[in-house]
Amino acid sequence: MSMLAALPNLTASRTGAPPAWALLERRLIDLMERGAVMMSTKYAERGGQWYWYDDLDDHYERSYNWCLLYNMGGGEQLVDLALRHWNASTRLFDDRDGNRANCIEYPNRPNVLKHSIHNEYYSLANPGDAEWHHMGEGNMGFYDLALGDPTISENVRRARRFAAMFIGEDPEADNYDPVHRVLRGPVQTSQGPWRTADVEDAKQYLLGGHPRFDPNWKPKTMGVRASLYPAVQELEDRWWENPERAAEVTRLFNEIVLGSDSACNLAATGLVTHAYLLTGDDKYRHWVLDYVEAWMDRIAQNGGIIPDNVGPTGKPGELRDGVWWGTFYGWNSYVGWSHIFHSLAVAAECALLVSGDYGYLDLLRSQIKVLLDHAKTGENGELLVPNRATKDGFVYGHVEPNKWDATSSTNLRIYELSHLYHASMAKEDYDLILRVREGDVQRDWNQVEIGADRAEWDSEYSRFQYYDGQLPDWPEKALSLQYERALEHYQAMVDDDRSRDQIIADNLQPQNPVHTKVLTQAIFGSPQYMYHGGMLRATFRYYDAERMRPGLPADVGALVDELRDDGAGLQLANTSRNQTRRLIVQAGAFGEHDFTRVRSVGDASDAELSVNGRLFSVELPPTSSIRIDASMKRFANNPSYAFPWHGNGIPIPFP
Amino acid sequence: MASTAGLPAITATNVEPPPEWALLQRQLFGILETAGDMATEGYARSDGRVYHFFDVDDAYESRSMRAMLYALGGDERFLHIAKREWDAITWLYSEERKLTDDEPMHPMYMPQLRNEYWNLSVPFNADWFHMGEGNQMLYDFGVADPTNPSNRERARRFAAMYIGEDPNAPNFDPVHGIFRSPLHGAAGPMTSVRQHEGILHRDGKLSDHVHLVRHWLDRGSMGDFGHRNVIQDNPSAGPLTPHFLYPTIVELDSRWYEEDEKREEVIDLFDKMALQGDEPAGMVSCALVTNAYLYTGDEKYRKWVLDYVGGWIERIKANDGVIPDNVGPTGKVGEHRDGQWWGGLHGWSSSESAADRLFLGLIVGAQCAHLLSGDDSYLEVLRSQIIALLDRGKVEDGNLVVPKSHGPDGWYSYDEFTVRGGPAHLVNLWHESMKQSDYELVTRVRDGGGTDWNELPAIGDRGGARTEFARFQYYDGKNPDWPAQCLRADYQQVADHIEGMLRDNRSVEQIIEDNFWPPNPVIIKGLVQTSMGCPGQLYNGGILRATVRYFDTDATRPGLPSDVAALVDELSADGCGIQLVNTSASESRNLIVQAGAFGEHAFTEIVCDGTQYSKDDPNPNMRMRSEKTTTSSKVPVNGKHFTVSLPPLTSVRLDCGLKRFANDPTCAFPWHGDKVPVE
Repeated sequence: MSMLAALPNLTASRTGAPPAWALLERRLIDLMERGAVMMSTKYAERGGQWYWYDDLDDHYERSYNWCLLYNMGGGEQLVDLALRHWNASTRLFDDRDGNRANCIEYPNRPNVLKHSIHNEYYSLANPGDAEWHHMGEGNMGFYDLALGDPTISENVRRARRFAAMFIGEDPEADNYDPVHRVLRGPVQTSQGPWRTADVEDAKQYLLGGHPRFDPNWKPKTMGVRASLYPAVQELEDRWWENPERAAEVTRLFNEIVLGSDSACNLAATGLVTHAYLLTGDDKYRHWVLDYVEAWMDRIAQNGGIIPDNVGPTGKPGELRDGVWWGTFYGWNSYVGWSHIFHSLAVAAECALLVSGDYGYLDLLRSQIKVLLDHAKTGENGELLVPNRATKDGFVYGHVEPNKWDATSSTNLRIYELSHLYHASMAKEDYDLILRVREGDVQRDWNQVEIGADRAEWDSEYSRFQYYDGQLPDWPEKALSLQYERALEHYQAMVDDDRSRDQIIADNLQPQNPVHTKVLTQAIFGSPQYMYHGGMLRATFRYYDAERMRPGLPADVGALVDELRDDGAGLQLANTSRNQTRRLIVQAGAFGEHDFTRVRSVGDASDAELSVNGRLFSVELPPTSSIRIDASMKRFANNPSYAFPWHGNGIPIPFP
Repeated sequence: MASTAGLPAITATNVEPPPEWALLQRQLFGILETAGDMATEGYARSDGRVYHFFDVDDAYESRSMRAMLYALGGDERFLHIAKREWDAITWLYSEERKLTDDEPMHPMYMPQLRNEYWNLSVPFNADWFHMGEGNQMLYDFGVADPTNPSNRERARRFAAMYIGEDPNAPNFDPVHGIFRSPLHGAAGPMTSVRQHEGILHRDGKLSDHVHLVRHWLDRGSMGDFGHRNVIQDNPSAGPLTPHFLYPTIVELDSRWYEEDEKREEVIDLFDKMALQGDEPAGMVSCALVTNAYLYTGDEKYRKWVLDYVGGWIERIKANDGVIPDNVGPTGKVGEHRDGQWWGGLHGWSSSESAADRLFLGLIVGAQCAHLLSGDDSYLEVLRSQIIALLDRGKVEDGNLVVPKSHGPDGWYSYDEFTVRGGPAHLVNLWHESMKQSDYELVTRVRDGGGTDWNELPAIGDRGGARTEFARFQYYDGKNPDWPAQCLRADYQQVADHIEGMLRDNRSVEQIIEDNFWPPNPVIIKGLVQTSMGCPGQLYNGGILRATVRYFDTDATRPGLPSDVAALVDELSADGCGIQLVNTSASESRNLIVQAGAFGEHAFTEIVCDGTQYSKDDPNPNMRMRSEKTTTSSKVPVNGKHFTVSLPPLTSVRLDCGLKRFANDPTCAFPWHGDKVPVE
């Protein structure tokens, strides 16, 4: 290709035994691709419908990152399988008349399948799925389809259609008030905001558990998932047995909780950014920045703390006499700040990505600082940050252990910090992490821990140590542990000797066997994307220059071994003994960065090239490796899902 | 598929990430195949004749190790390539071959074989140092393909030349139990340099028999021209080490060859003192004779080896514990030197001396006699000389040094024991006996030296004995990273050789004209060391000393199955530890493990580890996460073989009880029974 011929090129000149990390990476990619195929053939119909039934988002999560694995170098089939499953799940849950799924009775489930989809997006049929914790999770699979192939007309139309539901363009989905820059409730659907909770819903969200289905349900005190405070100070025992009181509480729930915008909704920026990355349409960028700025204003109005609820005109605590906490999965709920912080990180990243303006990171940074400013020192010298906000102020640690389903960590987790620092590469954010590290008396940050992809941040501690120069053998350790996890999942499928009928009867099937957490870290030089709806973050992204597809070429391993605010270090190794591999390296997941210069380090050539663009190419002869020092200008370009050979726009056949 | 009926069976159940060494070992197999193919395609004709023309042992060496690569688990084509190239090189260099006009040969070409074995045309190469190197390729056929009739026939024919059965090659004197000369071959012993006609050297000059003697006397070793390299024709100031003729001549006139009478006198003396009789290097022949035994089980070969080595042990005893380096025609030590036990051609006062040449015979003799008899008293031939030198050692600058030479003034040339040849003598002794006392001999040298034994030199199979330091340290628990390091180092060597071949853009005509060729890129010592649990084969003609070896039962062939990696991670007098890893995610692999390179050992009982997953929970995720139970089971074997089945991605560690040297050795494969079948 002429475009390739024009790219600045480095050629590796050092040959030798491939590094262990490269061998492990390739084996991981291979194993997980096998796992995806096995999962798809053993636990789904050929059309892609899983044999198993759960909530919609869980269906999507089963194959959410298969296109990302393809972007690392997995086989082409991963894209087709991911598409197949996404489409099959979407069809299965669709609420159109005559949908065959109406007939399906799934065993071991309290009800038949809920048609949670209208207009191919989350509907009012299962509103519990349509808040941003679950939609964020479930949407990842849709976002990633564009990493696999951004030219699919149908998916581009879907991206526009879904974004329309959130930016006020879809009359049927009247979720957004552009005047006051508010989403009209914590639950938004393709049929508009949810306002029709019944008493069972109110019990579930106020008191916890699943009263509608669970014969052993026991209420907890008000606030488990949401609160009516201060309209209701405390809920009396068995209030739902009094019809009038039941109706009143239900009405208050619909008005106050479901009538306010929630900070968790900031994750909607991911869906709109996705549309921007596919189309480049400025209206999406504007919406993302408007909505983020609205919340930054609200932080300022609320004395520096993000309110978890704003009313119809955008005022903090507008329906709660100014009380800034109490929303769905907000400050006061059992998850404390956890879900809010997911959304803050997603939104801060999206705003920076579409604007190149680091100022938007304050959305997240300011709230991290709030927690740190309110930190206490524990008995063992540990740093303790607040977990929740209550009428008595911030509370710390494991409060009311018997009343709350879960708890946040007492120390500040590294999850959002890690994303913040990766986005800014700023000393001030590095220092924030050091402060947390110093206050962490329980965890040895050099201990490499790798849980499932949903254990979003356990692997970030050791990753931080590696780039901080404290843990040089992190790549091998982390990849080896990740391989162990992947093997367990793979082997569970191999060992599963149930018949198809039994699998359906059990309604139990393995987790997604594709784990992209450590590979993202090592190959892309970034934290795993925010699991609840974040965009891919990558220092480098790769394309096979011969097969003209995304991902590392066969046999090639990549390791980002240094990260700076003005560049990064990259090792590439070709583990093939007889094939030359050629690849294109892109600055940023979406070409948002620029390379200024790239230099091969530590080999005979010591070549240095001027790039001044987002791409360069590397030729890797058999058994060769190279270390590249890339000087970069970060967030210098408009981001796009376009592949390098797409030129200035994504070639969509039927836009 | 090979029948494994009746063999104890083990199935691997551990599913764990493959260790680095396992991935590297399989990578190394791969790149060795690439390198081997490049050498075949780039530097040989399609009939197997190599492009270069020089001395025949170098021709063999440039293509050796391929049959062993196959026996380790490399692709089957390498067995056929090895055979084709051995046959082609042998035919190319045979004096029976009639050259035709349309076969132009490089000027350096000369026939060097008779009856497919060395003749005496390049006399200084007709010694065991060079033949040992060249024969390695031959010996490996027994390990790789023992039922091939031509391999078997050659094994017998060549052995016949050394045990006194071939009237055309009367090298061995059965009456006195000695070889008649340090130089020998299919044409019989060289008892006079006057047998030699001139040969052409690389610098275009011809050397005659006088040159040979001059060089031997000047350089004090074995007349080493560096093969037929440059003739140093400068009038020498005087012989540096005139000891071949000592004490008959104490000081030799530096221009002895200029006067006819003096010249003839010196040459006569040289014939008598240096060429007429035996030397310790003769024991390298034990491998050639053992090779015949392993194919045939014929008792006469065993008896010959034991008698011959036994003879040297007697001479050691009679010489106060030091091996005499020269034996005259009637078997007397120092027969032509007034009884002086030192001064022989490749002996104590030659330039290479104890560090290298002399010990080759001791190692090979000890290995072969021990293998064929199971009697470790034969190891004395090696052990006694290690002790003899250590006992004469001293500490200089904090380092233990031992004398490498003996001359008119007694022991001299003190140096670190292992400085040149590496610790081949030490580690091979310990490997044979696995005795604590021999271990202590090794550590005595290690702990007395200034070098870091954990350091791994980057080196090919030739000179590979120097890698034995790091290997010893691993089994001594002091160098845990050795397996990966050693495989990495070999990989690097192979990659460098490939690089060299890739950069060689000469035409075939140019390659032939230049007569320069790349070094053998097929380096197998790391694979032998890690997977077979033994020192690399002694490069100058040692036999394979594997603790264990493997056979692929599905493919019915020797070697590890595809994708399977093996590491011997522990060695002791009565056992060994083996890790087996199937790196394939899709294929089950099945193999037979054999005790000993030639089934000479017996497994007693295997303790193997395993993993059990609870299958109680119907949810596969919960099943996976539920408590894994580590199992340990004992499998009685009491024989030389057992099978291991490795489902995809599984691994196992085997703690093997071993009874060493319990069986009659043979190169028969497990499915052959106890003997190599003959048509």
